[in-house]
Amino acid sequence: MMTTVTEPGAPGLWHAALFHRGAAEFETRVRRFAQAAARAGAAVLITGPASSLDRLRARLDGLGDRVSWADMAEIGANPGRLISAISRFTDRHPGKAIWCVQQAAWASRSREELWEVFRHEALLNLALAGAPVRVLCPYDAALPAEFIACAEATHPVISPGGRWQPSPSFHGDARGAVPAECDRPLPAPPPGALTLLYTDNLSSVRHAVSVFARTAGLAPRRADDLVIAVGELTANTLTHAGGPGTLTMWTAGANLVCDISDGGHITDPLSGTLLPPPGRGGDRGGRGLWLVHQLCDLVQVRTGPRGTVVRLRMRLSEFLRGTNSCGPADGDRHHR
Amino acid sequence: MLELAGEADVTSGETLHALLEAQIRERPRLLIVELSALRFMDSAALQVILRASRALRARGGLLALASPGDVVARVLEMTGADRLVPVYDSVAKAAAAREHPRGT
Repeated sequence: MMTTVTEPGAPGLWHAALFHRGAAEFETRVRRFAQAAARAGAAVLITGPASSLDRLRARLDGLGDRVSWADMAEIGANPGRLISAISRFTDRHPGKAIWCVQQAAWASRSREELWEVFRHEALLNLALAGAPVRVLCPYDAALPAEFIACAEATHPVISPGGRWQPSPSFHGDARGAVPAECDRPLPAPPPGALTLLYTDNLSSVRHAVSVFARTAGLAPRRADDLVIAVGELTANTLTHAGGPGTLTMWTAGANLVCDISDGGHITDPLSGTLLPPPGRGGDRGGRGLWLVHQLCDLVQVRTGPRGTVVRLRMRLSEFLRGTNSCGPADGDRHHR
Repeated sequence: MLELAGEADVTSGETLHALLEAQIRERPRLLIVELSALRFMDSAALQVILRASRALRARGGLLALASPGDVVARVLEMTGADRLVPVYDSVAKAAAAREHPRGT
């Protein structure tokens, strides 16, 4: 159950979209938020692209030391890691109020990535419902109207003119209310994409992925990550779909793309957003899908009664700083 | 000590479970699972190992992992399993865990 709370400071989840015009307004509002967090004795996590974090650090005066900074290029290049990053930060600060600034939509984001950002913005309301967490999500007011509409639909609170108010278009039901635009069918793979059918021959599928990834120029460690991810998804086919699956691979520009499709239906919209505790959830596929999100640069899931396709993207060249060195997606980098 | 080789995934989970179960029935104080020849492990196989670790611990013993290769180490690290089961980079170091148990 969710309530709409417009002022930060009340109990329960507070999840707000800040539409800003320009860097100055953005920095002022984030500084005000961080100051309020400090007065409340909260643990503060600020995530965003490195360039934005550098500017913010310089503008937070004495507050920078009390903030944990997380470079989005590492923890959230894939929007499917955002909720997990906040959840881990929360786990590391038991009993504390948690205030986060989550900058997930930056200028160089692709449209595919932005739709996944809004899927996870919607799911955040479900995953963190009732948690003592404030999440401020800055969006450039100059984003195309379709994305602004999505931000309004996925945040209970918005600030169109500098004041917090309930978002009229927020669908506050308990299903997470992922906007329909986020679930549009994926474009078909190109003709000539490598296609493999599998039943229980998972080892040969993983081997084929490894060879294809290395031939396409993916760094060995990232090729291993893709093999692990494909291993989890093909295992899920065997465990949950009760039938054969299809793997399709191709390269598109600077990306290696890999589809895994089968007849299964993922009915829990939160599957893969949070790591199930050890010993639990392992039978429902959530652990595998969570791992896939941590390892791949973008994960697009389309699922329904007629089947599931999971599309994985791995960048072949490094557009974002630090993507080669990501350890566990901790989202907690103290800067002192 | 149990040495695993090849690939451990959802299709080999039952075999892995049976192998570990047979070892645990002997109630060893320390069971080292040597992983250097294991090229792949998925989260289903990992869950089998974690369950075995808990079962042995309940009997007063300790399960330790030794010498994981790159892919297996990556899975242990990403899932946080390396904080649930002690992982050593050699069998000799794992054997020393008998004197200095760690991990919780």
